[in-house]
Amino acid sequence: MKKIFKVNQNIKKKLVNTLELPKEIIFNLPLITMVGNEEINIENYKGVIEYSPEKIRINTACGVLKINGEKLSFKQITAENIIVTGVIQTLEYLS
Amino acid sequence: MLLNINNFCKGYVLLEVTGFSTERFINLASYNNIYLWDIKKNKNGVVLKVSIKGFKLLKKYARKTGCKIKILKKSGLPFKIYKYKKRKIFALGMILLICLLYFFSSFIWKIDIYGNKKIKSSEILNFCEQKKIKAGTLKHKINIKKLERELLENFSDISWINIKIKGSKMIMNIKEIIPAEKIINKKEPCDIVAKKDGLILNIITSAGTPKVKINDVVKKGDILVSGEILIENNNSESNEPSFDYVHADAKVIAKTYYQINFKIPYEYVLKKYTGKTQKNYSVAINNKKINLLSRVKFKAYDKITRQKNFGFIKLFINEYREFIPIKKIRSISDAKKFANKIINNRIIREFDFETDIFDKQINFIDKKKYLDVQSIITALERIDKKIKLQK
Repeated sequence: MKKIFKVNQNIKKKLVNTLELPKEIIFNLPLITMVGNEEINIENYKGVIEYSPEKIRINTACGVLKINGEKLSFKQITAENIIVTGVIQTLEYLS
Repeated sequence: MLLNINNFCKGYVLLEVTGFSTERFINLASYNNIYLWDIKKNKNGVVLKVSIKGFKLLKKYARKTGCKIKILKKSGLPFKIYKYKKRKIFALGMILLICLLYFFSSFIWKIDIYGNKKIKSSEILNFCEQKKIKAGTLKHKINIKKLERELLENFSDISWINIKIKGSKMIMNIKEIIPAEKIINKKEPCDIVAKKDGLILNIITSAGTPKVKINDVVKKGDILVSGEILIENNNSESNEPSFDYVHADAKVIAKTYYQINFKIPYEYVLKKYTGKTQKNYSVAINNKKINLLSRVKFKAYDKITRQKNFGFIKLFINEYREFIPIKKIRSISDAKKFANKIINNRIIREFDFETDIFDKQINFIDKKKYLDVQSIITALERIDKKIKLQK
């Protein structure tokens, strides 16, 4: 059963690559847009794990996204996207 | 910016969320489609903004996650409206103000006329009043195109007119016709005749044959200079004279006489003003006059009326000045001085600007009750007048 799923995933990947379909929709991956180091827009997130002005951790489909910076705050939170503003220093995925 | 205005209109609440897992609370809220914005960390917990609608739902999730919610500030239009809901008179006043503003701005309050030089403004206003357009008529009753047409038809001196209504003001822009100058046809033969009776003093002829000499007495209508010229033909054998007709031109100055006769009674009334004044007002609405305070205390008075217009309401201010009439008798020398003054005034008023006064002869005849004044004024003036020559 697991094998079939893996094969399935492989076929899906190849299909997406050849047809050039948007990956974030097919694989439910986060789409991250950044404006300089001031604003970051994360679509397709799963939830907020931790919030402090220096560190934010957000759960996504491909692991936890960690944002380090200063004076971080959420400008907007909806079911679809989340906008973080402040001085962003690093972005990293913790898997 | 647009989002801010939208939020302000719908109203929002500034909340402080404290508790162990504020992140879980935020997750839960966003998962259930509650829009949160401007989330910031505070000393105690998290400060966030949420719409009024969302706030009602949030209570449930706060209880679930064990967070405490505290309202820091309520802002937006719905809260402002709630605040003023109790002030009914204030709201009524606002509505009344808007209604009155609308009501009074639907009238014409002033008519301004620009660009008229020959036509008097009052004439145009009178004409408009006949057409029932004046200060105080409703705006939508006025047919501008029709009024323009009527004015153009009625006043021949208007070449172009534009009427517009700006607020409560009616502005008329007028362009008048520039009259064409009378062209004197110098080729047309004409005579010069006398305008008035007089004694010729000086005659300067530039064209034509003079028919009068200096010191001749002429009457009104006499030919002074004729346009007929006799041409002496020495070469021709026949002695018949031939004539040529020209446009006569001459400057004729003559002595003219005027009589001014009047009487001055010795007895007259002098007004001695006491300095006491009284004012009273009357109001006229649609030409119906209402006196507000009508009794006048004085026996003899001068009445001075001033009028002020406020749309269709007219206010009359009457001022009464009391005087005591005193009967006085003039001496003969005073009467003579007075007569001289009257004559001088009449000369200034009645005589032409170019006329010179040559001599004044004044005879005084002393009657018992009055002084009879008989004067003869001798003036020097031009008496030439062109008249078309008839062949």
